[in-house]
Amino acid sequence: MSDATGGDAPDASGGPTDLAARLRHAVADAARSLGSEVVASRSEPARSGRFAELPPDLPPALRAALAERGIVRAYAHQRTAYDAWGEGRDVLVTTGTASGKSLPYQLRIVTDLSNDLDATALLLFPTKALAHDQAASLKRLARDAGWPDGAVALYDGDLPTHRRRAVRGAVRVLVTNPDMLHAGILPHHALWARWAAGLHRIVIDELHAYRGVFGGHLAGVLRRLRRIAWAYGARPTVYATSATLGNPVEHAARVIGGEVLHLDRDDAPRPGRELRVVRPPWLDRELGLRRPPLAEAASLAERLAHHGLQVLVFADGRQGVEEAVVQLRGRMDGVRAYRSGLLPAERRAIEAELADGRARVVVATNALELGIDVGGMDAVVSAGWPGSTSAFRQRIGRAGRGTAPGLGVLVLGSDPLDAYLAQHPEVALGAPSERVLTDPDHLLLALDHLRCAVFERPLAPGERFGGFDGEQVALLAEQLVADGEAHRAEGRTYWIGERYPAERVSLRSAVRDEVRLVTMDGASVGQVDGPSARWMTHPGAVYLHDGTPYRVETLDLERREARLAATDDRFATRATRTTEVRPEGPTTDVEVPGATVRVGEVSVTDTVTGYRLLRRATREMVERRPLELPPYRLRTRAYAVVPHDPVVATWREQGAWTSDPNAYGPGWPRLRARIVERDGHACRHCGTRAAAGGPLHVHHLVPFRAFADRRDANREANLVTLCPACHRQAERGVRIRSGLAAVAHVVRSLAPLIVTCDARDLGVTADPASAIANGRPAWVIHETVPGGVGLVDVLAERHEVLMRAARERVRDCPCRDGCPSCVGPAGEEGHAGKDEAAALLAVLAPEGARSLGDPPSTTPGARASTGAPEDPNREALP
Amino acid sequence: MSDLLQRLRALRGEAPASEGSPPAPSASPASPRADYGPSAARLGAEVVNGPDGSHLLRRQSYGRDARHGSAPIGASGPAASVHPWFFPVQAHAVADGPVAFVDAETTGLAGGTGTYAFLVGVGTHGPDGFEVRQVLLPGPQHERSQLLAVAALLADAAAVVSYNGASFDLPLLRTRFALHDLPDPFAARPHLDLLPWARRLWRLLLPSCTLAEVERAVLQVRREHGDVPGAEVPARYRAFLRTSDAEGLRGVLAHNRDDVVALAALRARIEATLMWAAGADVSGPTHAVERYGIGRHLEATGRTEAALRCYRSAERDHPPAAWDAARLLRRSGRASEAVERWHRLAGDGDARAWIALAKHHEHRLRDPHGALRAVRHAERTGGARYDDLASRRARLEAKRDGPG
Repeated sequence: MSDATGGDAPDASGGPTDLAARLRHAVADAARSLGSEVVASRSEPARSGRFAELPPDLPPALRAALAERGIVRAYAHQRTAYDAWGEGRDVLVTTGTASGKSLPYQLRIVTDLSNDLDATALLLFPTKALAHDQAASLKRLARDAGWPDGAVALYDGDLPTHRRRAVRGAVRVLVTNPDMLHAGILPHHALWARWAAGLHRIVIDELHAYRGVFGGHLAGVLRRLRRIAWAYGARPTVYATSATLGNPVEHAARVIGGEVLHLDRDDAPRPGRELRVVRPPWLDRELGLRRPPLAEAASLAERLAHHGLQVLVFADGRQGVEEAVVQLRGRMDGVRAYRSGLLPAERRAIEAELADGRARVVVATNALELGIDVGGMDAVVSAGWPGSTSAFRQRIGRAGRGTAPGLGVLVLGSDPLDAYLAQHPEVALGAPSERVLTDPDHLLLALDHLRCAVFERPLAPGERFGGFDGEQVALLAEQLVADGEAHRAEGRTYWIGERYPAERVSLRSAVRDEVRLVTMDGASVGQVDGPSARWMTHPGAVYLHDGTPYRVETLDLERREARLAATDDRFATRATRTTEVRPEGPTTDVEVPGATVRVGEVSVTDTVTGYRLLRRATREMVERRPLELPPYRLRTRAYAVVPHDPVVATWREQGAWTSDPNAYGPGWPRLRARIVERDGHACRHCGTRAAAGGPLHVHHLVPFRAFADRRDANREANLVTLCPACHRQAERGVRIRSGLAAVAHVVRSLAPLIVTCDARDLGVTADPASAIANGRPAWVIHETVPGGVGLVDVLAERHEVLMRAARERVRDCPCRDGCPSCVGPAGEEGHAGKDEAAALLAVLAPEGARSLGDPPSTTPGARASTGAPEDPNREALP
Repeated sequence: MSDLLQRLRALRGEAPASEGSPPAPSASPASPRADYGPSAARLGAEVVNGPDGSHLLRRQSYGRDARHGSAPIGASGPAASVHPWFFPVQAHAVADGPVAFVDAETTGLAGGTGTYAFLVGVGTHGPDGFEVRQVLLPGPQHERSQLLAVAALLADAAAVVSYNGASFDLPLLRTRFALHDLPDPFAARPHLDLLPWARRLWRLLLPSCTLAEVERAVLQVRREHGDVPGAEVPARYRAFLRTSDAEGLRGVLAHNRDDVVALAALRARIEATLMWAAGADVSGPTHAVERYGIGRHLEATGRTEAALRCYRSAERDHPPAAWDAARLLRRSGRASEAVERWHRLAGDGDARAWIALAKHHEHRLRDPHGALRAVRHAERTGGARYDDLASRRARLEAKRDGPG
């Protein structure tokens, strides 16, 4: 990789170099016309490939068919992988995107199974779409080798029941997903006895996708699979593929169990790439507002398409995809949305249009990131940071066709993490260092799989299970006996429970929980997972599907169905959610500067309390509407930061911190007088009259800045007369709340970088009276996967690193009162709380030695104004 | 108590157990062979020990004249084995030979490899009457012994009869045999599941076609007070494993035995219906709906003459049978008999009968006036649901007004 801007691909032919120049010109032109700021440019040279002979032992029919398709040699790394797996070791392949990770296992399986007619294989994919693709490609090879139809078969939830028996009877290479293996195959292994007895080869594709609880579950399923295979006398070996990771071997060892041979040398030729990191233009420099990255990415794509390039835009989440599509459809043809909620036929159609060029701009969610083979694109634009370097590399790995160079653009957003990356683009463009965490020996998770294992086959005396030795397994088995689910006799443990344990264990919280989206006339428009359904498809929500807005009429969580009606109004909705975190069981406390860090099991209750109706074009709020929906409950692990009492006390004392007065409008003095008049010239809280306590204040119940229009804020119902003492009291609450919320905002964005996980894996709440802090102020980071996998434990260990990063971000941000790139803009939580956050972080991340509880006002970054007269007109929450 | 279990309790949100209250130790003693004598005595069974473990076997006999409600169970029935019509395809396979009636009680309803058929009842006819033999699994470690015993009971059977066995009992038992790598005793034997038959005959009469409901309504059998509800069965077996006290299983064994007896009775009852439909000189079902139901089945399997016989015997009390009878009569050229029925049905306001009459008048009698009258009646009785009456009327009016 070269740092030189404009470094040309080392290809003397001229063609690719011309294309590279064209790409450079196109992106410079597009950025200039949009007023965007290019913060980093880099040219990655093309790399020529290294090749090797095809394996000599391929079945002749297969070799001939490959030759007919022009495949007469392999990349050297493919041959290495083929040979290594042939030697019977578990193999992990982490070569780059489009390096042909599939071919070695395909050839190995077809070769081995052609030689041994009793041998069978299993291919596991994290998604149905991937399984579909791979099954098709393997079926072609199997036909080439002269296998009968049915030898390669896809077996997933979409396979009609009446065809399953035929598949079981004929299948040799079974292509499925872990969920089906877990709930549909292992519990019925007697029906699969022939296949299980022959099981010789297991392929686990996209191993990096199995992170967190999903990874732990896959490990549990694989333990069970091996156990059953062993019982039938089979000794399968594993071939796993993964994107580049910081800890590929460790992750593979955890999930697969045991040591793996790691192959990471990549001998595939790679096209040259022009990479750019771009920040959108300012909308309001003072408020720290830039153009949203999604809109910017869409505009960039549009301009690049006008330069004749086929562009792939990655957006986060289907809502993002839909918004970008709506924006682009108004301006050009050939725009397609590709996201996970699509039905298979819709997906296939888009893949075809991509291949033949009818699609000029495709906007995709991570559905495409997971390795669907759609070939290369001229340009890839990532709207925002995808959360990890490996995810980003996977995205830009789509840029470039064959050896022709491609363009990769990262459009940064405004959150603190993106702001951090704008300052340090080398982090974004560098080699992936993310670690994927998973904990297969998580007690509850392992117990779930042990229950399934006992159901599948009685536990033998002294049998081990994953990381649990015979003695521990025996203890857990006793627990199953105590729970009435198992019976022990002669040292063995038998399942006698009435229920089917696999049915109650979902490998990914969303899978069995999906809510179908159905129009009023019965047409299906995809699905969303249960937790998301509450805030994406609540009654009244506007939901975009393929650019068409629908209004949700009903949401039936029991029948798992939402009814949608097409709507042509110009509104969007945003749900309002509250999250409560309660401790469950003992916690571990660690003292850190200025605070106690507390880690333990918690229950998180997420309630959608209502939603805001917005004008779609301007995002202006039209009205708030309440909702009553059942809450979503999650049992998981959390890390809480509880500032020490002296810190909080100082903080309360500092209630006089000022922020700039709001411009309450020219009529304010008169309105104020009217409110004081209305309230009988007395404090509505304590009854103090004007004469006794000095002039009375008028307080905004809902903070002034929460309103788009000051007339709404100044409605008389929102105003109340308070005496100075009571007003201070009211303001203190809001100070703490603002400060906490401000810190939470920074921490929310930076934590995923510190612990190297997906932003969606963590939830952050700020609570001035937190249950986990015995009613004191705290902010809490919880894992969003049930049970947790230890992300918060890593965070707690790296607490001070996180605090230092947060402190720097707040200190270095050029905005005045808080902006999306640091503590967040002023909003419903009151004012942004940048000063309070800075003060608090100065205590929590002291520079050098600093005693606990130092007054925050003495630290840099906070504007100390203890002695300043209190502004009577400041906003506060009640 | 171990740290591991303490942690587990904490994670599950349970109160930490105090020292000295570990999970209840499992009841089964460490000795390799428990003494099942007391359990056997309590259940009126015998303990059978063998190289593969132990099982309990209970026998109960019913004399040649025994009945279960309205149906005989003691003899194997008027036919030598089961009626060939039971097995339209496999009739040749059901050559003479005894039939085994099979019913299993299980540890759960889910199926899969972790569900045991802890009690298997097998009923067979012998020279002295009917005998039910039940094989009880005294503990999951003895399953091989139990399965071998079940296979032995089935050894002489030419066919197997069950109720809902096609989707439940048989797949589950076959899985058990497969898990022990034992030959599948069900593989080569024709299987007669009585549930679809019960549905054909009585679905229109009964709120549900569970064995208990059919037994009550068709065989007029009321299970004695204290019959164990099916839903309670797994819990009773778990309690037996935990405590070694077989008292709770007495009711389960009785329930299973009665199910096997009911199978035999039901088979006899359905067989009598089939024989009647085939023209034998036996009394047929008393209820017209049942006679109609068997007719529908026979027509679907190509036995038109027998079906017509059933319809005709049912049509007086069950008008849909008259409609179907008319349909078959018209098809076999007996138009006047069909017309007679259409008139009767039309008189009761049956729009389809009016339409049939309209067609009859138009195409056979060449009588557009009569046909139009019928169309008008059809319109009044909602016949537009079955036929494009407007076109028919237009065509008939043209014919009426046209030349000729």
